[in-house]
Amino acid sequence: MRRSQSVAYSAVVVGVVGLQAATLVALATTFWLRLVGRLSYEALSEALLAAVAVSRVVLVGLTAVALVQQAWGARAEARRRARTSAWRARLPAFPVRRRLPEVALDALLEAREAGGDDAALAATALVSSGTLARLTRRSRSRFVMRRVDALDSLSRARLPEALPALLAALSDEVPLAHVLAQQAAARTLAAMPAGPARSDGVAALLTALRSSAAPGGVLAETLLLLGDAAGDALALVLRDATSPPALARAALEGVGRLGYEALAAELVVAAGFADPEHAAAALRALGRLRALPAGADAAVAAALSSDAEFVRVNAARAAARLPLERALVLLPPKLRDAAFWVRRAAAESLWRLGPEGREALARAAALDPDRFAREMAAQILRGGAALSARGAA
Amino acid sequence: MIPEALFLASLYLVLGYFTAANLLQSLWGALGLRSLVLGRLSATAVPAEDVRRLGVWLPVSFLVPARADTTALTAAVRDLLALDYPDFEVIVVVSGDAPLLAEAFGLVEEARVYRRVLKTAPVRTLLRSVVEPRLTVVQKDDAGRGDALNAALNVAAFPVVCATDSRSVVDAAALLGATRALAEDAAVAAVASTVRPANGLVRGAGEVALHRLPKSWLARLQIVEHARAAFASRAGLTGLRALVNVAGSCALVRTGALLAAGGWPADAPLGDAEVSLRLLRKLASSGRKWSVRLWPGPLARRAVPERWSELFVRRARWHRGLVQALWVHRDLALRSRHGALGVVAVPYLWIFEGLAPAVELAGYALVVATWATRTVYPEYALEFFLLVVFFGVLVSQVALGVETLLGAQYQGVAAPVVLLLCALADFVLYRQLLALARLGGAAWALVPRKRTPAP
Repeated sequence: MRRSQSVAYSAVVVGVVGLQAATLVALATTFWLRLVGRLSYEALSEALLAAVAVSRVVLVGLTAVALVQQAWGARAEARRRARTSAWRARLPAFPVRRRLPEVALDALLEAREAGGDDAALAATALVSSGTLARLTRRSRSRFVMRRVDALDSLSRARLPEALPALLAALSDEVPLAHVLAQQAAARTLAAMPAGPARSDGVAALLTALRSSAAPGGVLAETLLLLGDAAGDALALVLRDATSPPALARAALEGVGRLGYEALAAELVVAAGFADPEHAAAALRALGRLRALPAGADAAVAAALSSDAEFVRVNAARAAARLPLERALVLLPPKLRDAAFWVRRAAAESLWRLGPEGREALARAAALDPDRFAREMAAQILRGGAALSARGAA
Repeated sequence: MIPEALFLASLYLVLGYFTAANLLQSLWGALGLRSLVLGRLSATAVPAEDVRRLGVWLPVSFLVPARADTTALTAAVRDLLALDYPDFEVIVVVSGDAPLLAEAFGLVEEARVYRRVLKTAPVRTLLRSVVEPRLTVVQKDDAGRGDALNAALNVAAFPVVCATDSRSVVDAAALLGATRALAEDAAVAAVASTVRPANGLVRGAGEVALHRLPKSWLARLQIVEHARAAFASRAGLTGLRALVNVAGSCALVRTGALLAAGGWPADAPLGDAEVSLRLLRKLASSGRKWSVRLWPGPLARRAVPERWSELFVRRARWHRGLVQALWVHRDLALRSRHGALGVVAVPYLWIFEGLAPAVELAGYALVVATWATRTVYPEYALEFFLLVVFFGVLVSQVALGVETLLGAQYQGVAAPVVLLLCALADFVLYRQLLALARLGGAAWALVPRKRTPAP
C-alpha cells in the first residue's frame, strides 16, 4: 500500500473510531439518565435503535471502503509499477513540465538510487521539473506525514541542491522527522564530491548532531551513512574535546566499523578514558582495525585490568590485534578472569592469533591451575571451527 | 418493577463495561495506528542492504524448546539455519534424546562451559553439530517449556534472544529491521511484534515464497482475531510501555535484560505473560531509561490450530497463563512507581482481559434470559446484542484494514471478501465459544501451582 493510501485509510480509521466513541458516550449518558428516572423507556429504546443504526451505516461504509481498497489495491499496484517502468524508459528524454505525476517521481527516485548515467539524467529532471522545489516545500509542511514523506524522497534523491532544506529540517521537533532529516542529509553529503560545499555541509550536520537527542546508535548510523565524507566528520568529532559523549562514542563506533586506521591514534587516547562506556567503545573500535598503532598495547593492557567487566571484554577482543608476542603475554592470564565473558573473549582472541595462540590455549587447557581457565580453553579449542565460520561470515 | 430495575441495572453494568472496553480499545487503536505507520516509515527509511553494510544489527540466539525430537522439528531447524541473516545461533532444547536431529546435523557430545545463571532441571548432554557450527542441541529431562527456555537462555551467547518453536516461520528481513532498532538505541529492551498465522504459507529457502489464505475457516477466523488484538491493544499498550506479551513468540529481547528478570517461570503452563511482566517490572524499577518497541508487522508467522479442540485447549492455556501471571504480580496494580504498567496496563488486563470472558458470557446470558422470559422490553436485548456485534465487527474491519496497511497481502482475488466475511462470522459463534474456553482457563488458573518467586 502506498503512503497516500495509508494516510487516507488512517483518516477513515480515526473517523470510525471517533464516531464509535461518540456513539458509546451518548449511549452511556442515555442509560444514566434512564437510571436516575429522567428519561422514558421509549426514549432509551430510540437511543439504542439510533446507535444500532449509526454503527450499521458505518459498518456498511467501512466494508465498502475495505472491499474497494482490497479489490483494487493489488491491480493498482501492478498498474503503478508498469507506469513507473514506462516513465523510467523515457528518462533520456524526460518531459520538462510542472507537476509530474507520482509515478514519474518514483521512476526518478529509482533511477537516482540505481546510479550510473540514469542517475544524472534523473537529477536534472528532478530539478528542471520543479519536483525538487515541491519536495523541499513539503519538507516544511505542518503535517508530520507530509514532512516525513518528503524527507524520505529527498533521502532517496540525494541531490546537493536539497541540502539546505535537509539541514533546516534537522531542527524538526518530531523525533522521526528529525532522524530522517539527519539520515537524508548524510546520504546527500555522501553523494557529493569532496570540496568546500561538502565540508560546510558536514560541519552543519555535526552542529545539529551535537544537540540531537537521538540515541547513540542512530548518531553512529548517521555518521556511517556519510560514506566518503565520514572520515572528515569522524576526525572533527574525535579531535574536538567539547564533543558530547554520545556523539563521541558514535564516532568511535564509526571509526571501527569503517576501519579508519588514520584515526587509530584517537582511539588509543579514548581507550584510556575514565568513562567505561567511552573506553569500551574505543576498544571495540580498536578490535575492528586490521593493525593497532603504537601505544595501543599499553592502553589495551591497562583496560584488561579495568573494574568494568565490559571494558575487559572489549580489551580482550582488541588484544587479538596486538603484535603476537605481546598478545601471548597479555591474554593467557585473562583466561582466569572472574567474569565468564572476559575468559571467553580472551580464549577466542587466542584462537584468532593462529597456531601460536592455539598452542597457548592447549597449554592452558592441560596445565592451567585454574579449572575455569582450563575448561574455557578446552571449549574454544573444540569449538574453534564455529569461530572461524563466524569470522569468515 | 423490581425485575425491571434489576434488569436495567444489569444491562447498565454490562453496557458500562462494554463502553469502557470499546473506548479503551479505540484509544489504543488510535494511539497505536500512528506509531505503527510511523514505525513502518522509520523501518524502511534505510534500505536493508545499507543496514547490513553498515553493521546496524545485532546477532541473535534463537531458543527452540521441543518436547520431542520430530521430523517437524528437524525441518524447522533447517529453515532457521537457512535464514538470510548475518549472524545467529540456534539452540534447540529437547526433552529426552534427539536421534533425528543427530542424524540430520551430525551432532556430537560437547562438554561446553556456559553460565548457569538460571536454575533449570539437570542438563543431560550438550551436543554440537559437526556440519553446522551455529547449531547447539541441549538434551534434558522434561520440566516444561519455561525450564527448557531457561536452559537455552543459559547457553545463549548473543546479546539478543528470540524464543521460537517448530510451528513458527521467522522473517529474516523483519528480523534485520527489528535488531536495527536494538542496535540503534541501547534503551530499547525488547522488540515485540504482531502475530500472523503461518497456515497457508508456502515456504522457500529461508523465506516465505507465497502468502495464501489458509484453507481452514478456523485458521481464517484467527487471522481476524490476531489482527484485532494487534490493532486494539498491542500497538497502543506498547506506546505506553505496558505491553505484557513482550517476551512471547515473535519477539526479540536483550539477553541481559531477560537474565536479570529471572527468565521464564519454570512451573507456569505458558509463561510468556509472566516473563513479560517480570521483565517490565524489572525495567520499570531499574531507574534507567528504557522502552519496548513494536515491530510494525510479524517477525515470525506461527501455525495456528485448525481443530476446535486444539484451539480450545490453547486459548484456555493462554488465559490460564495470563490470570496466573496477573495474580503473581498483583502488587503491580495501581502502583504509580511502576508507571503506565501499574496504573494502566495491569488494571486494564485484570478488568478487560482477565474478567472479560465472565462478563461477556454473563451479558449473553442476560440477553437470552430477557428474551426468553419476556419480562421486560425484550427488544432492548436484541438491540443491545446487535450493537455489541456491530461494534465488534467494526473493530475487526478496521484491524483488517490495518493488516493490509502493513503489507499482509494474501494471494487471490477472493481473499479480502473471505476475510471480511470472517470478520462478520467472528461474532456469531466463534467469539462466544472462545469466551467459554477462556472462562475454563480462568477456572483452571485457580488450581494452585508451585509459586516461583519473582526476582
